[in-house]
Amino acid sequence: MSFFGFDTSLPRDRGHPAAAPGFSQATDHFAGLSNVDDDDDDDGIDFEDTYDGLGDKLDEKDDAFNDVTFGALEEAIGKDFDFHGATARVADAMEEEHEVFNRSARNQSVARVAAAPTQPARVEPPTHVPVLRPDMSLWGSGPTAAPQPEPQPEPAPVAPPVGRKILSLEEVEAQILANNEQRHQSSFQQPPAQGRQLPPQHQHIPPMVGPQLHQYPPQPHDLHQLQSQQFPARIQSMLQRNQTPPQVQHHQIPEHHPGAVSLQQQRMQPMGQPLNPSRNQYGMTNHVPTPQLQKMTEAEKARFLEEESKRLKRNHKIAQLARYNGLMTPADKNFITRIQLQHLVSINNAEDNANEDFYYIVHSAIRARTNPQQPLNQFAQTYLFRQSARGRNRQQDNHLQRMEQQVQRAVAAAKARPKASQLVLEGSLGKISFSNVKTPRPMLNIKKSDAPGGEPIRRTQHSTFSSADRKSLLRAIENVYDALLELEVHERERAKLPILMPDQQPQQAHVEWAEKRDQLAAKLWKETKIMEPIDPTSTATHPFIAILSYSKMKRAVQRIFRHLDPEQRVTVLTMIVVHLGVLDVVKHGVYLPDETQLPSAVREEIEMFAASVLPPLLGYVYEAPLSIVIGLLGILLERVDVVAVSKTKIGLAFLTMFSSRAEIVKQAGGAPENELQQWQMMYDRLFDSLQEHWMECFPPGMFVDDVYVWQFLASIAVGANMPQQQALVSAVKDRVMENVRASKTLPPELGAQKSANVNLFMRAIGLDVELLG
Amino acid sequence: MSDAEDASPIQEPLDLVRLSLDEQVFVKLRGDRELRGRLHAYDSHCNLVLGDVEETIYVVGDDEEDDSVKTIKKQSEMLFVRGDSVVLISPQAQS
Repeated sequence: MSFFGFDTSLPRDRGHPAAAPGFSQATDHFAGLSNVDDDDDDDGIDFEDTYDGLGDKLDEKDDAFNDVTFGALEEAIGKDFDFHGATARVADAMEEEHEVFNRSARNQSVARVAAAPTQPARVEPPTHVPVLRPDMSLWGSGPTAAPQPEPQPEPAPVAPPVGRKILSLEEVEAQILANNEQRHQSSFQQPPAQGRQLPPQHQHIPPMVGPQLHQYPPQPHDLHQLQSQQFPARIQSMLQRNQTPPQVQHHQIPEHHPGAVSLQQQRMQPMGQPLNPSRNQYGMTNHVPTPQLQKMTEAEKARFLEEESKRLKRNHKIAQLARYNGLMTPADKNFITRIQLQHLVSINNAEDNANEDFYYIVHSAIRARTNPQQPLNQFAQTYLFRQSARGRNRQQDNHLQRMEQQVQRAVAAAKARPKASQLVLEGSLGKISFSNVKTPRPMLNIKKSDAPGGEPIRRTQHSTFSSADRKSLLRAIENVYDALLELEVHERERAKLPILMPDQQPQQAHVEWAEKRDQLAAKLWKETKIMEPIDPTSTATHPFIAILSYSKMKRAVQRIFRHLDPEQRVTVLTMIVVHLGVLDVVKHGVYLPDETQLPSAVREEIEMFAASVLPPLLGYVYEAPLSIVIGLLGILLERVDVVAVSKTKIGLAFLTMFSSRAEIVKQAGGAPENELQQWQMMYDRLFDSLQEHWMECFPPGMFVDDVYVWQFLASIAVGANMPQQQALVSAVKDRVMENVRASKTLPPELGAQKSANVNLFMRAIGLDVELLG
Repeated sequence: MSDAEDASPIQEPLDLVRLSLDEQVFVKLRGDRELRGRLHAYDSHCNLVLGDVEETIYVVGDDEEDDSVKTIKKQSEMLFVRGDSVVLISPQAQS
């Protein structure tokens, strides 16, 4: 405003009548904002009467576009005029105060109405426009107006307790006074008479009040003086109120807007009653009359203040949070809820989880099994996940379960809705799928054609299969894996079924599940090609044996075995035994004359076979009745070149398997006599066919792993009669001695290992390496 | 295809790659590189995971007169091959 010459002209204006015309003109552009021009005009007449023409002296010819040119003008003025902005600056404190006040004011207003029923609170319609509109009716009473203020519209008394809002005039005034107080240190010390200009300004240009008031001498006695002289009666009474006990206020200001009152108190009290920490004070004056507070003991007061400040903090926090109230539409909320529910389902549903994160689940399950040192929580997670799905009808899961069911229904409904998730482009190889949360970017989605009439064609096909080429074998293996995976997935579905009590009848779901399981197991069984007829005349390898030559099929055997019934298991075992001679690991497992080591690929295959195929077979044989062992050994002796087989690790493993099982059954007793006799016959046949070939069982070379041979010899020796034992001992005597000698030259550990191997055999015939010296 | 009627007949090119899972494969890459190794995994982008890989890089001599092709061989226990560099995948009969 300085460019109006305001500051410099001030001294001259001092004696000037209160109307202060220069200023009113300077802020004419605000008058345009006001809708209440009539009032303005009335005042303007008074104004003109006292106008000394000073304003005319102002050079205004260049001021026409001041507003445009000096955008800053708006800002400079706006500091006091822009109620909203000013409020925003003190928003934090004010929100807090609003909070505090509104809590108490609600109670108070009730009290007030009761106390002064003749003066009902005025309620302005909520349509009140919150623009920069100084309500001129407020100023209907001039500087010398009667103490009874004109009825004035109250800005929305039921305004929300928080958030920024437009200040009422009382608030503005209160704020101004407070500012005055605050700036008291730095403000110029103007003669009190300066304040005389104030009332007319109030009438015309409320925004201007701020800067003017800043020049007020803030000393209390000056203030009083000013109040009595110039303030509108209302303000006067307000100011006085601050110096009277707060109870009195309730009678005096029944119509006050809660926020306004709070602001008045907040701003004015520092002047009127500079007593307590201001922050608590405004809160308290509404609550507890000051005298009451003063009556309190120090401890009580401290406690009270503390509680108060806590409450304020909490209110403040709530207010801050509430700032974001109503940002989301109901649709947004629904959307979020849906996502959360979906996550909940997939988190709590181990099966869904297993499908989506299968390898992690399996991996951690395996790790949990093999590594007991792993952190317990991982273990717990892995298993609790699964159990949470299983232990479903337990009490504590009830609510979760219900929740899940509801959500599952919802999800199922959502899934059932047809969705355009695919796009078929002309010329593309398949459908292009859009990605979504569940299936991120699936690749080409090609419709599986259920080859009609596939079955009949297959019938005619075995002949071609017997001469199977590599690719069809690989294809067969993939089919086995497909079936296996399908079956395993289905097995996991079992956890979703309701748990049956032992005496309960299986429900429909269980029956269906079992049917599907059987169907899948049958499919798997078929895919193994194990039931392809054995054609003794054909030179081609049986398909099952052919695909078993691939290590991936070897790996699958263990998994397949789990899904086979005992009859199928014995079929597998029989099939392998019948083809033992042509099994790749046996065929290639024979050492060539000049070989001391098998090719690495063969060794790998043998390792794989020993690690994956043998254990399930072994597990079966070790529980098989003697008759089956006899039968298998019989087939072996009949169909297979035992001598050749015995030269290989796997071959010997089978022989060891049978002889040791038979020996265990024999020693356990209880086997039928005729079976024992049959076994003895078989054993003798085996022994005879291997006679003279015992040494060939050993792999070439001195320092190779021959423990399996000693195991085999031990298992044979246990069942041998005296002459057989002698023959055996004399056959392998040299090897025994060699090993014992070698064990002494080797490093202690290896040596001990070697003699322990030999001892396996020696113990079986009732001897010990130690005896050999 | 003799087994086209099997449970999951070959429906897309990558089904053929599937047959080579856990088998020795020959992979030709951009940038004059070749890989030989056991195919552990693949995906629709032809990203591959190979085990026991021998990588062969063909380098043409820099000099004007020396344009002979040199080969550099590298061995890797396990290799992830990004699919965008794969030119071809070929099954290799067990050596």
